[in-house]
Amino acid sequence: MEILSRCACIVIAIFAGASCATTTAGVMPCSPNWTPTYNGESVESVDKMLTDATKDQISPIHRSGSLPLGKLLSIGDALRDRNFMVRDMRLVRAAEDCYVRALSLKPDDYRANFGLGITHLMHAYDELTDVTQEEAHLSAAKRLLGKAYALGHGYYEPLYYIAEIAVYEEKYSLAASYFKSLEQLGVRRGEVTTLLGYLAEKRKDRDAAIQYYRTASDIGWPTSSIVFAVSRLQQIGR
Amino acid sequence: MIMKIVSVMVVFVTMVSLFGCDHYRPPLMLPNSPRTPFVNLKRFRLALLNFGEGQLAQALPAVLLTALEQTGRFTVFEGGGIRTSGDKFKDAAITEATARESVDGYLSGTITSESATEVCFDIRLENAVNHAVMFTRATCTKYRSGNGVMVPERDAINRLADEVSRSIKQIGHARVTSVDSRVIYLNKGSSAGVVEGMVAYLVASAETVTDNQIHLSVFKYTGIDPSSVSSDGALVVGNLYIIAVEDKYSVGWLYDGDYALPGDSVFFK
Repeated sequence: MEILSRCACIVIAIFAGASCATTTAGVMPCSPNWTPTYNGESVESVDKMLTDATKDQISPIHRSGSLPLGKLLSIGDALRDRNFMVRDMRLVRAAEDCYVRALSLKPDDYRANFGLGITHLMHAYDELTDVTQEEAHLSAAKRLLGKAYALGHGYYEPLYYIAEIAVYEEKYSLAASYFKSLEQLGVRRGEVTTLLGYLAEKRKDRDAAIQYYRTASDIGWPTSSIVFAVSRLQQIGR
Repeated sequence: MIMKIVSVMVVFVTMVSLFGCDHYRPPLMLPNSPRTPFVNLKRFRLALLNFGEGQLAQALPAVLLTALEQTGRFTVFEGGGIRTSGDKFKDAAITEATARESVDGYLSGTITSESATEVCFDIRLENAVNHAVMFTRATCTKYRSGNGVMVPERDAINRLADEVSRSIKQIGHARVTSVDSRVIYLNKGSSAGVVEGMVAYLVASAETVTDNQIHLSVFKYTGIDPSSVSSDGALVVGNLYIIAVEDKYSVGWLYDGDYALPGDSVFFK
């Protein structure tokens, strides 16, 4: 069923005219010889990839050689977070390049391990990633986020995404234990409550799911999670 | 018959594509920006400044600096301030005005009286950021002079250094109970030894999971051996000093760092 639904999604994506992200090799924003004419594309398209602030930071530093750790991480984070808005896997690959360079400078850096883990997760979530690659990306994401969790002495952010992976792998009771822990901590309340509702649905506990989704809609933030919670509430709350 | 099969397949594919695309999984959300981390400087950093004009005014803090360094209580700094005086003092690397850039507190003094064999002076241990006085002592010591050099008696200075090192009690850590912008309320006060001007660093405990079962489960699930990971230590996210003290609680001011959260830990230097 899973493979059939995935094939159907790809077919629909093609018919819908969605563009496939091409894996053009080229000079990445974090490499020493990056110039604003990135891969021959116009500056206009580069502007779409980077915020003005990030671009201003890069150019003068590039003239002096390779980027220091802090800059690599800032640029990686900016590229990674931009992908959440514009959904362009080129941004993810550029972010990965930054994080890999950062890890070569400091293998036990929390931000680099965490950031690279998130980019692997983004690959796994990408509809055009095939099953074998998806497993590899999830495995890498787990390892990197696990390391970030150790480096952060139990910091909540890696745990949240590790729980997301557990959901993806359908390890629902494991995911629920992690989200319950985050719920007690009171962090990412909107997302955590919505996901607890989703997990309640998975175990066919409709009443618990409705309760969680209602709580999530009362929390009211972030928008994407709450829209999901409200839509599910409309579906199952009847 | 064929048309029937085709139409059934079309309906099936449509249903699968509508409901099988797993669009009803919650969306992957943007990571939150973590609080800016700081290098963990656990020990109280103390600078020595000169005691005014004259050879004794430079010799006294110099001897005191040696004695303080030997107590092991402080990380001691000297930015040229005890070797200059008058107009040149403002060119020293560490002065009262610039001390906050490199140290947590500074020790300054004033010679109050001087005879042929004895010098009396007052010392002050002050917070480098808000200049709150944390400790004062008035004392006298004998000195020897010869060949134009005046050398204070070291035993008395050593005793003074011990007093200074004990003046800021090492009281471990406290917990943030509430926060109002940069004002932080802590669950320890004067009964625990907290005094105004004391310096502490903030650890992001409010955002960390402390359940060991969860830790073990995560490391098992992700295949990570935590002992193989070399960490920078606890997640230090700010620095603060105490601005008010009551019996059972105290109030701090976060002068470095993004913000504090109830549940964070504060470690006094």
